[in-house]
Amino acid sequence: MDITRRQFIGGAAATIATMATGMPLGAAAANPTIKYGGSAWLGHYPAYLAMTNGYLKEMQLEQEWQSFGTSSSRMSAVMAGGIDIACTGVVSALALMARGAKQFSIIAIPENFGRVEGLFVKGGVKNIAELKGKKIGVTFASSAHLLVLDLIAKAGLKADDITVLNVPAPELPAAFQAGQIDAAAAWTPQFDLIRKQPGVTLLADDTQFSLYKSFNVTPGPDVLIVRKAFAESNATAVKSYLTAYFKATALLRDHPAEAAKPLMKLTNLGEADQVGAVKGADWYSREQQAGLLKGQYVEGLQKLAELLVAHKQIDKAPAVKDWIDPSFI
Amino acid sequence: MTDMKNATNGKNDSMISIQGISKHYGDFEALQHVDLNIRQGEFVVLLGASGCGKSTLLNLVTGFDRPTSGRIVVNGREVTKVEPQCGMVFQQYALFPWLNVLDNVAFGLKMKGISKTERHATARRFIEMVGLKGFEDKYPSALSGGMRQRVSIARVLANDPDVILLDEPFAALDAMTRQVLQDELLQIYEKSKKTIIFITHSIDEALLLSTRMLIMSARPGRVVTDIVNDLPMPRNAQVQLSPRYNELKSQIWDTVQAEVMRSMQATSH
Amino acid sequence: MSSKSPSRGALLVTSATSVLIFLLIWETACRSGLVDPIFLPPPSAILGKAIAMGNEGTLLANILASARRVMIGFLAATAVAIPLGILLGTSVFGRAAFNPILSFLRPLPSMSWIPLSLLWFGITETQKYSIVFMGTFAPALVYVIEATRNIDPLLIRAAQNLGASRWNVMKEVILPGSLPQILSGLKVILGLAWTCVISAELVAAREGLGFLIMNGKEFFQTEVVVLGMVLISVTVLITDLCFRAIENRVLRWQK
Repeated sequence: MDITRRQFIGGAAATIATMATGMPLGAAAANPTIKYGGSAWLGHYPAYLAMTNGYLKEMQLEQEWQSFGTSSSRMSAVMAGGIDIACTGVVSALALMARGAKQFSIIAIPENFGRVEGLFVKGGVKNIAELKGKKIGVTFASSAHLLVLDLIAKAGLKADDITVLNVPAPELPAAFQAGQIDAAAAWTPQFDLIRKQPGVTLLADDTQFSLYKSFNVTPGPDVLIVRKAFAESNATAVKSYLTAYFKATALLRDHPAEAAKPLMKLTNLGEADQVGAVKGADWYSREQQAGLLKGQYVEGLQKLAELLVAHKQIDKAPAVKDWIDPSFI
Repeated sequence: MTDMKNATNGKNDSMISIQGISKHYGDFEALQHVDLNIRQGEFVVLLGASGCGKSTLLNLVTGFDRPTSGRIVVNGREVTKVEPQCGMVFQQYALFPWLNVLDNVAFGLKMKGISKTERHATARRFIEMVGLKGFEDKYPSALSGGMRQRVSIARVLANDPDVILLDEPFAALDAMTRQVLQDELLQIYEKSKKTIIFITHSIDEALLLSTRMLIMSARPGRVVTDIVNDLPMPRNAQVQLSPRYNELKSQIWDTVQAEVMRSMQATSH
Repeated sequence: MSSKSPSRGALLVTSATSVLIFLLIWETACRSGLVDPIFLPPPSAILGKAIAMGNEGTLLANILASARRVMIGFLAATAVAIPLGILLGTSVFGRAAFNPILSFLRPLPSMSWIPLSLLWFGITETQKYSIVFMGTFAPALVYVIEATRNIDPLLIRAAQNLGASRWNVMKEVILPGSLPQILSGLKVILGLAWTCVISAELVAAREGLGFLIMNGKEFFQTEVVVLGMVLISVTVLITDLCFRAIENRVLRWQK
């Protein structure tokens, strides 16, 4: 699960230079390059837009975009020092936090995407109990996975009552269409592709997640993280990054059609679908960050960690607030 | 001393009829126009230096190879493919290492479709005949060279071929084993009355075993001398020390000597 | 000075000691903080995880799932490769006809077959077997053809001379004669089959050692990842030993 975030990082590029591949040490204050880990997931829209619409350049920053297929591979790159800023599904971050990894901090919450992730069914299935004995395809260790587990638990079924299969996101549409699985849980852009298939209905989306009503937390909310070593030597750059970043979220919130155009190159969605995807999320502003990073939302993330423990996805729940760093907002 | 008088007699009871056989490998003339008749029950020894075509001739008789020209008829049937009517005993034994002695000897019978009990019984008889009773369960890797050769002979015998061909079968064995096996072979010959063609380098071996000796020469390969061996059987020590033995030996010696010299000159460049 | 070659007991003790020392160094390196456990967990953590999973019953289930996939795919590949290989080994025309296909198939890694196999077999166990099959079939075939062609031609001649037909030569001479070389080649292929299973379990699996490793990686449970690797090694070792036992039985005739 990726969340696109943009963080403005100003200041010395020296730290980046030592970590980067062949960056000259002399490229000091002028246009430091931030290595961002992204993908076609909507959480990365702000970071992408900040790059394509020149907001980063305005803040004298350059961004190098690297694509990752999974959250875990992205987080591994962060741990190894190859990525400086990334939006990530909090589940991967929580898994690392549960292991006591101190290499990164959470610096912003980009959006809330309750309606672009969900469970699809065919043939007029009305509730999840009808899927007993059938196969659900979902990418394991993702927010969609947790949604499925949560839905099954809420329906009072046992884990073994339904066969949950690990299917990588890009394979889901084809597998579902071919009837190899009876239900598919996906996020955008596969979400949009599956919705278009004939006879398909959306059984539930993230708004049905048990923590959503009380904490407004989806099964795998996005968080924007920064590599601590990078942030310590480039604090100004990080702040500048966030400025450009939230300029992009403002565009996404207020002018979705305009924001959609450059994004189509990232996602390969058609224009209508792209606008729909943009509108499917609530884009937060810079002003909202203070409230999010300190209050109920963090508590919701903590509950999420506990839920993961309950579903045996991670071993223990870390104290989420220990990783939150609101100093850059 | 090219004496073919005995060879061309009795085309009627001929077991092996070699007619105008030539074999070329490119430019190399392995055999040039060999005409030969071997009668049933003869023990023919092919004598000669290396490269004179002895093995080639044997391979043509068994059908392992095709002649460039001419034809071979064995027991009334022309040789067109490999057939068990000419059983071959190889110098390297060629025993199947994954089969024990009993199954090795019974192999040809299995190929004929004979039932297990029957072919095992037959095989045991021949194993006993070559003096290997008690070794039926052993594998070839556990046997000495001499024993392996006996198994090889038993294997061919069990198949009851019309002709038995042996290509220097005892060359790899020590002198004492060789002597024992030569004796055994003679006994088997006397009992079974099979037609045998035997290849050797050794004049003494030829004199000991044969009823007829064909001396061959190389480049091109052909039969130079055809001599009848009239020494009496059994060829005991007395016979081997007799004047007739020496007479025959000296008769052959010069011819063989000359051929060996010729081939050595031809190969030494 | 008598030159005594070391006893088997002495060698065994040496091996065991070196393993123990290695484990000790590893454990201390992790405990002392020299190595971050996320990057490499200590042996004690791995053992702990193994025991926990053993109590849950998931340990054996995962091992058996992978082992089943390996065995079925491997046996299927062998069942086709041995007769086909013997046939091709004896036929020059057969080889000429088959070589282009073989050259094309051989270098393809098993992972490259995943997309096609999903289309053909869907998300089923058959799809997993097919990955193992496709990864091992071509190399196994090459081994068998090689082994067939290495048969002493004299044995074939002897068999023909004893009345064996073309079919009998294949069944009674070439098959048993090439068996030693085939079996030693198959040991290698079995190891190959295990690497195929790992890539097969990347998609649409719920259990298995490859799945264990992938899933552990997703949640940064490195001790699960290493445990998976250890289990694969151990399982291959055990199957290797079984293979040797079979070899010794079948190849009794070799000294």
